[in-house]
Amino acid sequence: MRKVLIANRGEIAVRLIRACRDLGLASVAVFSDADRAALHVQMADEALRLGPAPAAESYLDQRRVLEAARRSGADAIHPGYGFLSENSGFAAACRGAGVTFIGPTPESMAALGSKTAARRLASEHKIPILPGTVEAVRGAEEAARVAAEIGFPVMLKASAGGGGKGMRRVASAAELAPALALAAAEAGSAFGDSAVFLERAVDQPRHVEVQVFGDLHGHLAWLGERDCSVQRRHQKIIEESPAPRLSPATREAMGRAAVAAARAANYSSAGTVEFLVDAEEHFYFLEVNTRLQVEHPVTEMVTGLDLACLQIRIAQGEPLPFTQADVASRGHAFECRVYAEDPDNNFMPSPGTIRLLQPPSGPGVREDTGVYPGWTVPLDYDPLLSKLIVWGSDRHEAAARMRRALDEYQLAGIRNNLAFFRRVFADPAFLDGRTDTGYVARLLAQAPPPDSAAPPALVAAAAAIAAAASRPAPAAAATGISHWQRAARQEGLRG
Amino acid sequence: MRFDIQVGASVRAVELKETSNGIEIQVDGAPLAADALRIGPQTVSILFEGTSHTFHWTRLDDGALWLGARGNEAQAEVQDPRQALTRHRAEQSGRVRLQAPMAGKVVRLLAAAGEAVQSGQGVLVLEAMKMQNEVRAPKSGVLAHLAVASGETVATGQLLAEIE
Repeated sequence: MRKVLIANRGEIAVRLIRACRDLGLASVAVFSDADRAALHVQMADEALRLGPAPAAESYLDQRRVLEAARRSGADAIHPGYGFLSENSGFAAACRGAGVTFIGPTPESMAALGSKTAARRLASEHKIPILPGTVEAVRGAEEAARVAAEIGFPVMLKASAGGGGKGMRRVASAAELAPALALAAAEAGSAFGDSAVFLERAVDQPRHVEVQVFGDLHGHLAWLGERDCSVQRRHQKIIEESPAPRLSPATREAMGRAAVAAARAANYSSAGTVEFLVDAEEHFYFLEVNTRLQVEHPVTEMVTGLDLACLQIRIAQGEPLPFTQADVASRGHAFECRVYAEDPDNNFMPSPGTIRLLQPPSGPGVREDTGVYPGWTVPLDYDPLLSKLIVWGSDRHEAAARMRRALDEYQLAGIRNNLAFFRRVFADPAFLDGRTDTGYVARLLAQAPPPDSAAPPALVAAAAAIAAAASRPAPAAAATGISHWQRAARQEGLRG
Repeated sequence: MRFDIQVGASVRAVELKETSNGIEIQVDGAPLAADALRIGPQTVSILFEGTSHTFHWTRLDDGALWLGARGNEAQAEVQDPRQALTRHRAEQSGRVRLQAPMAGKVVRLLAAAGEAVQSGQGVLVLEAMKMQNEVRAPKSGVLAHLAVASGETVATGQLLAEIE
């Protein structure tokens, strides 16, 4: 392997370009017209245009991605997450084109790729699952019948889903048919597959996932867990490892179940086995994400492993460089997903131009970003801007470092969720580890903390100084000398 | 230079005078015993009662000023008194404008013009960044005007409908 094409965009493309560089491999970025000026395009060794802004004509277009690999001479493709990452057809097409797909085999992906296939496989291997339909529902009538059997509330989930898209909680029979239509439409739009299944809803569960890793020689290990309970709109916004308030016995049982699921699918590369954990610490298998997760840095921080590099090395045929006994988790890590969205308006996506950006640094702080000042966040894709990750020797220290990093972080021009994260990391319930998927709603129901900003007169004074400084400057033409002339004169002076 | 600065609900008149010693500041007619220093193109430091307060600032797309201090942020408007009056009149008329909460595409209309809607009822479905979101009526009334059609792309803040 000499050159890797990264079939993705945003922060994960930047992250993977860095992994290639660490391994001495050349990197190829691809981009749509909306991403002509994106950070990953600037950072890669080469960058090739795919097509127009819509993902279906660019990042999701297998033919164009493979053509870019051929043109650039890339001998491997890393799909990142989202887009083509969990498409077994694409993995097979790479194999057919003689290009290494950095990820699991198409066969493993097909066995686990859809949530329904994974549910079937888990139930065959005695891994606990929630009651519901094993296959996709065939219409509103079947949904109503199964829901009546298992009782409301129920969850509707896209078989091909991920990231909460095509997912709806349904509290009563009357809401079922319209919710099914919305979920199916959203699933069809996001994944090109409108199949939706139904399962019993666990109220306010915790969402805990296990990182698994396998090589092409049958070795498998699990690399600890991540608690991803802090969610809004069914999408994770804060992740941490280890999971707080989880007994060592449950953790161990989940790890073994995760490895069993991976082994059943003959799994290789990075994968994540997701579980729901209820208030009594019963855990239920949800699905396997057959890709590198958004939140993989949390595991990297506590294990000291570079999962992106490990994926690339394993794709080249190297055996896992450790056994289960060698895997140790040290300290505690948190991740905050910084999104272009408005927490005051139900976390609605809020695209726009980044006018000011000053990310934090210091001990234990890592920022995986995909943006820069002046970048306009396009409306066409997921609005994730960057991931802020911290490590501390224990949960308390990690939380203190996250508070410090959030306070240092300056981001303006677009609405974002930094102020919301500051609120979370000051909340006693969160600091006590009392989180579940209902946490965000509970926090927002409380009165916001009082503003501890500078004296109002000082803020007004600062605003006036800013207003005075930001009045339109006289145009260059008005001085009688154009930029070209000035540049030429400076060239002349340089001699 | 004099500016009417609105932060939150309160408006303050700020007068700035550039002198050889720095910037003299008056707030609502009273001098502010503070020493202001522009320390970067988008950064100002204000020394007040022996403490330095550093503010980063930028102009937002809607013209408002964004100010960030360590762990805090605020938005300020350099206010035009006529705007406030117009806004007040619109509130009194009882007609509520439903605006697009984000840029996106109208994928479905859930109510027709002239139809009665309940508060919280979905008026249309807006898709942005692959998420479908119901835009709901903020009050009960009659959907007096539907300003968009299915399939139309809308910008943030664009008028979608009016409820009377």
